[in-house]
Amino acid sequence: MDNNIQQQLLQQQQQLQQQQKSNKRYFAVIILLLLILGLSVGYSILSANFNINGTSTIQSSTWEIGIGGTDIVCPTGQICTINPDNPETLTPDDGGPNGAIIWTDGNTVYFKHILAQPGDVFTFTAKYTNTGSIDAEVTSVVMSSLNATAQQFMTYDVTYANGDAIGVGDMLTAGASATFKVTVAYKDTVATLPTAEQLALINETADGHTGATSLFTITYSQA
Amino acid sequence: MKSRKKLLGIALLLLLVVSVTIGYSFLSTTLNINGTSKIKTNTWDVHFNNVQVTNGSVTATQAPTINAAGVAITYSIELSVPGDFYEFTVDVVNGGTVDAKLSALPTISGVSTAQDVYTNYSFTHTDGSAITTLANENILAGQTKTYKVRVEFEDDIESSQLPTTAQNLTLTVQLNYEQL
Repeated sequence: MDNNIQQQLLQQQQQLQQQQKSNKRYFAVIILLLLILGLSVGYSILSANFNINGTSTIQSSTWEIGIGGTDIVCPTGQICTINPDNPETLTPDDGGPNGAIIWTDGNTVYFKHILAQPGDVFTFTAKYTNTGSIDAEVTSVVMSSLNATAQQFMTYDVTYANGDAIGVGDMLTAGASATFKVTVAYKDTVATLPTAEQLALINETADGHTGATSLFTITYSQA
Repeated sequence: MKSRKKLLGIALLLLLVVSVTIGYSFLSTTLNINGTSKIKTNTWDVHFNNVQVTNGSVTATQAPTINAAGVAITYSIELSVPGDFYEFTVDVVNGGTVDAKLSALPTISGVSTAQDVYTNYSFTHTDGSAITTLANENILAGQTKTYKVRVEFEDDIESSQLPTTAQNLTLTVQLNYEQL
């Protein structure tokens, strides 16, 4: 009997121990889960978003370089007709003996003239203004040559009004103006006058234009 | 997730750079000055014309004759006694379209120092005034200037100054005109 009771007590004790063990397991799992959950939550808190907030103002700007009708000037004593109506229909003689016709569309200056005899010089100035708010600089200067026959009897040049050469890198700041001088001359050193054939080559170029055609192109870009 | 955000950031940055570059290259203006020049048909034509012998002159053995080109006059005269003279005027005509000027004062030659004692040889304006200022002798296209040639056997000399033998003088006046 005593043995049976002892065995029962022992069995009860063993059962109790097992129960305690499983309770501990559950508790450990719960703690582990809690720990994992805590870590997850903690991790998401450590990845906060960063923002850089600022304000920026872009000033209004204008880019404009051009020439006005009053910006073309002929020297005193030279016969010039500036900005007439329908200039394309006029011939240089319409401006008077040895006359010249000069006009502009605000961007391009056009001229046509006639040289009467050796030593004659045709010249005028054209003033371009940077009316925008952005500084500009010269990025390209291209000046065509007169045809070979014309070069025997004529010279052609475009410079600043003071005679300085126009070069890449020259500045035209906002509000400033640049005045160019155009000069076409009948050489006074010619030993003989042009023949009729030479005159034809000078006065009628291959592309159908009348006259020795001169082209000057200057490009301004933002400085 | 992080790498995706990085890629997006880089793409945005590139877009920003590209748009800034495009905006910069548009600010450019090309200006042109285009012209046509013509040369008038020209002629160079300066020549002698209209020789007029002054009354009272001796009779020339060869009257002044202008050559075919109009640039030379030849004449031949004989002055026998003091006081004899031969005088004529001649026009210099600019019949071309190019203005002309004398490149130098006229060169007068043909009379030696000894002969100068009894010979008066001159090339002057028609009023007898000397040609001294080049600028006054310009002949514009279409204009004419008149000059006077005079050869005279001086009459205001001593008998001892008379030539003892006949003197043959080759008298020249050289005028050089060029484009003004």
